[in-house]
Amino acid sequence: MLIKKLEEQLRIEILSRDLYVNSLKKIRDKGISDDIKRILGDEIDHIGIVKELISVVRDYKKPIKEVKAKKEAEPKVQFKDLAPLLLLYKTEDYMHSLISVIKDISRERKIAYVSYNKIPKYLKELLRDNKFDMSRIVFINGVGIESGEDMNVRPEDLTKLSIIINETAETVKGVMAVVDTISAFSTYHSNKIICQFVALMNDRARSGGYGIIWVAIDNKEEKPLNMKLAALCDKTVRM
Amino acid sequence: MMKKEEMILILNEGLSVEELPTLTNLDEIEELIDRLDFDKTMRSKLAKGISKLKIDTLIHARIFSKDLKLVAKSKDGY
Repeated sequence: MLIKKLEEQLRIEILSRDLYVNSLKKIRDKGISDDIKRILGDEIDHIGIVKELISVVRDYKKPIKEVKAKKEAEPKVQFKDLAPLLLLYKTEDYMHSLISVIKDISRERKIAYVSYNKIPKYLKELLRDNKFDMSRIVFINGVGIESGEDMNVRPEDLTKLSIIINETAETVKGVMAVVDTISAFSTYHSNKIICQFVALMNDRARSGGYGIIWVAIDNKEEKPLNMKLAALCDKTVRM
Repeated sequence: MMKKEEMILILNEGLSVEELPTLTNLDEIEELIDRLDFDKTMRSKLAKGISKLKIDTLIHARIFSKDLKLVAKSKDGY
């Protein structure tokens, strides 16, 4: 199982390397090009590190036994409740935990997942790998790159985003909208606009009978926005 | 010259790959190592390798987020 996971990691590192090699062929901006060259250098190192890890695990002479059972963490939040919720995650390293949250929510209700800064295809792959019932989730793609299988909205267009979420809630009764992440909205919008949007959506969710979860990154830079968002939501949970 | 939208696409793709699936798979590997009965030397070797990958990946995600913000707020082509 560990070898399988490490081989998967090797596949991902190779995919990243190839992606950045192709990106560099197109980019002329020196600053961004230098950033991607640095990342590409790391990816090449990573391929070597993962190959080395695969080799040491293969060469390990003792039998590898599982000594601890897989931890099934108690859910921190009950998703029967539809009250607008702010979920705070410590770093960008939050997706693993968020996938568990998505699974927990899907036991209670369907999900409208707003992917604001990540292309949905990667999350879909992970959910499928985790044998997630894909009929329990619809994707609203706010990245700005059109995808034929999702509802698409440009990240600048908050009016259209609110319309799509509301229309989805009318079609899928009691749906839980999960916005990943509200922190990324600051790429395109001021904190004032973000707070107005969150307040408006929370009111609509309360009156429209659907739930809304705002996923936010909990760090020093995001603190001023997170404090304002916490005041607009019925509950804040630190994950 | 590259259009702003094309640059955003490249940066979003990079950010997506770093946060998903790279970090998620590394988290799963860490959990798995924790459950297996490796000796101390082996455990430390694996932990060191995975930790290096995770730290770099988090840095990459931050770089992509920073560049994305710059490009999104700019009006110029690239």
